Amino acid sequence: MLVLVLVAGGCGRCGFQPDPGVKVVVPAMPTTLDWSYSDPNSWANYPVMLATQRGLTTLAPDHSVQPGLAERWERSRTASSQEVYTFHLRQDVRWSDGVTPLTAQDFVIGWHRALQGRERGELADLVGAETVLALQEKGASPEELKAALARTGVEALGPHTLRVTLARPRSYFLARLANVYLFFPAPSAFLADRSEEEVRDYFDRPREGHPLALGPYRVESWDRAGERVRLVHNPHSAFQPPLGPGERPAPVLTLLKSEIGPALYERGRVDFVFVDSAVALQGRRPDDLQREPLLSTYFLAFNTERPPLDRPEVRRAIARAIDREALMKGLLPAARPSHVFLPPELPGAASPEEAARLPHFSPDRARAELAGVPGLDRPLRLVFRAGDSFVPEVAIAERLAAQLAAVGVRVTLDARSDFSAEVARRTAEGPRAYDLYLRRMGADYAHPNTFFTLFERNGLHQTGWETQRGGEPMDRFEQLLDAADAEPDEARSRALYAQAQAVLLDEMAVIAPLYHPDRYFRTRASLLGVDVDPFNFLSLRELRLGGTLAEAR
Amino acid sequence: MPPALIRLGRQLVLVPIVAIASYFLMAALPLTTADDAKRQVAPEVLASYRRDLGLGQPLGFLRPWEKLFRGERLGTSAQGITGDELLWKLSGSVGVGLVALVLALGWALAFALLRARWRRGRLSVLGDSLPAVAFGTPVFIPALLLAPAVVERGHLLPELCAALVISVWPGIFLGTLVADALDTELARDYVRTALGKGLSPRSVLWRHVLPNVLPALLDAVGPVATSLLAGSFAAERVFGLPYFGQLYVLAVLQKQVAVVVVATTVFASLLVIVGLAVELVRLLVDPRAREART
Amino acid sequence: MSARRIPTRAWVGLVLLVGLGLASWLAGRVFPEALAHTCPLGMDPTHPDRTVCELAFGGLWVSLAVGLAAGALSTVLGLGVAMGARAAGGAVEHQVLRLVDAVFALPDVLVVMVLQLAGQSMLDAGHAGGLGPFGLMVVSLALVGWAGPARMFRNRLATLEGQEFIAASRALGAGRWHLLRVHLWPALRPFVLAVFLSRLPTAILTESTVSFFGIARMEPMSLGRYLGTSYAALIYEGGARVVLPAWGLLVLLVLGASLSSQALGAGTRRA
Repeated sequence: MLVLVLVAGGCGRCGFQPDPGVKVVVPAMPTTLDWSYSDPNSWANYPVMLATQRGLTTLAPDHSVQPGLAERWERSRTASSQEVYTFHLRQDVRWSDGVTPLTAQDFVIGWHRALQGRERGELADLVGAETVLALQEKGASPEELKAALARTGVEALGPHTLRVTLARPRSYFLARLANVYLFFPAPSAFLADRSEEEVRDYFDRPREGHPLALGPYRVESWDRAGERVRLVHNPHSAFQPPLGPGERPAPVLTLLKSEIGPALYERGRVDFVFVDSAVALQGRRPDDLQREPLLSTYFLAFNTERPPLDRPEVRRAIARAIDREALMKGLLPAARPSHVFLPPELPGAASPEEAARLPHFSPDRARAELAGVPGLDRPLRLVFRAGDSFVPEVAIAERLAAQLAAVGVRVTLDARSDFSAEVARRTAEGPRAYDLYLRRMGADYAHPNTFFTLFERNGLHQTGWETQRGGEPMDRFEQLLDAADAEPDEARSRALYAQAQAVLLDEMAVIAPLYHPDRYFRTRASLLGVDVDPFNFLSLRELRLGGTLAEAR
Repeated sequence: MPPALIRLGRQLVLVPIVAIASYFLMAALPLTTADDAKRQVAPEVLASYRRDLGLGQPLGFLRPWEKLFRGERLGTSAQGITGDELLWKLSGSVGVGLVALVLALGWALAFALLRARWRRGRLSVLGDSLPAVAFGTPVFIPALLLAPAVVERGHLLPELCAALVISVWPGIFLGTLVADALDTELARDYVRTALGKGLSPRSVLWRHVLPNVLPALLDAVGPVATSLLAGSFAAERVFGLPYFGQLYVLAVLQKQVAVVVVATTVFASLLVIVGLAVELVRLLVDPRAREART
Repeated sequence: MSARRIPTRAWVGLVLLVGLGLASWLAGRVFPEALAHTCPLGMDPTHPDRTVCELAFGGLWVSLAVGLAAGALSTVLGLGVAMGARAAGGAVEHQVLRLVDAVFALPDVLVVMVLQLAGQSMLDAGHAGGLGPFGLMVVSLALVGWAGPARMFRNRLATLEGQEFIAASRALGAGRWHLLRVHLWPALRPFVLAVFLSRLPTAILTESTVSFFGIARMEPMSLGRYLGTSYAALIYEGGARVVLPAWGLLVLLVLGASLSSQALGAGTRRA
């Protein structure tokens, strides 16, 4: 007892006190706060990035592009059919120290870092980006790289004028700037003369008001062991949440990970929680449970470099062997099984006729095509992400294995906590080590391009399909996308995207889509402006407190 | 050299042994293949190994410590830690562990006395099966049952509950040891003499028997401290406590090798400190230990 | 060892262990449909095509096998180290005991986690020497588990060797091997069994806890891993039917092992 009293009273800091204010339970902690450098698991970082930062543009609820950090822009074409955007930045925007103004240089520095980061493929549209990416593949010297970076299509024409040059016209580019956080600016005044390590520490180890933010909230601390990120209101932001009468921004906002999130919500100790667990969704549905259909696709990917999956007809046959309806039956309150990659609600998705031509469930055909295929006597290793997810991955993987066993394909399951690394890992012989993997692809904006970038040459698809048939199908795929992205006419661009999808799903059968996931969550009525959008982004940038929450606390 | 110092020295040797062993185990991991294209870890994790572990350098195993003392960060920017953070988190876990130790001692005494009482009755089965139930219960199960009531409440409630759930099994384990020792002691002649002289059973127990049982208890404190700290790993996760156990588990999961090396060694040092404390207490309470030294 | 010398409690424990293990193996391996179709506990939420009985009870024998293999391996290792240390004697014995204490002081869960991390990397890189996930788990459990038995065996041997009949035998010119085979081993045997049985629950629980942290990769699903991965259901309505039976089975396993181990251990102490 004496020890108890000593521990309790002895020191102020020991003893973990929960933060006051709004608490949001997130399924995963950010993997980094360095938005330019990023991480392949970037989805976990979005809630923080979107609450603390801003892009040149924003997206309205109807997916139309609206001004963001840029108040206006001009679009033009050069003689060599490059697309040039000139953005005029808002002059009243200050970083969260309240002094440092936003400048065009902030974008130049941020994008240069992003071109060297872990998701650098996302910036491949910029003029000169291909060279920078190729140089890094080659392991070029820092000087060479610096010179190549200086020639990329992002330039500060003045303190508030930014010129962006794209190698080819891209109809989606403005939409992309709104949400893809690699395009957000970085506070260049604080990054100059720092080593790369120090810059990364600047972002990832928040202290004394840094890293600076532009959004309505900024990161105050990040406790890795406690798995919580503490955001505080940024009064200097030019983008305050829209306040109604009696409403106010949340002074403190804690994002935390908890094993028992839904139980804490039931007891009123947290204000927002995702409901992902199968047990919770199968039981009694609470009244405030909300469902958000996502612009997203869960798919099975094939390692196209390892026999027997190195033959497209085998992959296609496997895609035909999967009964998507049976796969999803009874797993979730509602499900949208699908054999197409682009969700039907997405503008530019394939027409029903086009979709019907893609490989879909036809068991007899699959069995016939798979009979006598050499190399199928080896069990195929299916890798999927271990741990909690709103996609019932274990169940899907087990059912897939059972369905494929019925057509004579043996599958062993391998749930991995190091999924990204495992999928990228190569064997000593050269090809990657996995045979099949399961993954969810989510849109970052409402445009087919967001789905296809993953499977471009520089994308992180890890299927090795760029090497197939000497790279010809990949070239054709990229040409189709190029043409579609540059095509102003909607019907024609949709047809081109449908062709690209057919290359990916039918001709080369690199992946077999399974279903379009939904997201379930619960939030307090008094917490306004919190939403999960079709991009699966937990949006906190309009978060504010109604009168009732303040009283309840 | 007095034997006490020798024993001290033996305990302290443990620290460098663990430091070096964990370093070389981690350095030998095939995480870093020569060819970056075949790498199994992210490039920045790889870079952090090169920076933190001093691979291939003479005395490279001192590098993590050198960095820590200079206040630099170990591991990657996003998942690594600095010495300050480590110390703060350690203090949290040690606090929980100390409370749990006190609780465990309480359980031990209570269980031992109860079992001595049950021994003769039909309840003796309880005395045997309770340890099995306590041992067969992974810490995370009672933790989950308690957690919804206390997480995010503050006022040290999560800490106390963590201490409570991790103390049960070590407490019962200590209790069986004490009960066995009690059995042996109660059968001895001096107890009969004392009872014969007309002392009450209670005062015989507290004044004469328990002091003789104490050394058996002290012997077990080391292993109990180990299992308390190990239990705190799971408890901290369920109760959302941002302390050393969580730090350690995340470091392992995120392949922050330098952090794992340092944390393992710190862990061993903690146990050495517990061992030293036990020796001191033994000197104070056990006359035999003092005599052995003269 | 004659049956008469085994106390009743040990029998109860052994019967419990063997019975549970056999029943689970039969149900899981030989008649899998029985558990899949008649399970009062219903389906498991994360594995919707499999019943709770199938996963929990059908995984019991896997856990038992892990425990037995790891327990046996660590007992043999411990016995080897103890005998080696006794045979060498003097300074070597002291140094070995230091090492044993050092290993013993480290908590199982922590070391198994690190070993699993290391082992899985090696497994991926193809350097694991033919060990699968099962073998890796057994080896990592044994690598942390040998120190306790080594310490106990060494002390036991020291006590035994101090006894008069050994001294007499030695005085009569008995060799080291003869002493070990004729006098020491028969006296040590029940103790070895007791120690082995006491390692069993530790191994199973450690596996469960490591699974809880999401580190272990064990196929087929063991009881320990099942408990360690489905624990989260406990906080939901209707989740108790998933977690509590598995927990109960684990307790029964531990009870069986500890009953027999204690009874055997006590028997040898009195002998």
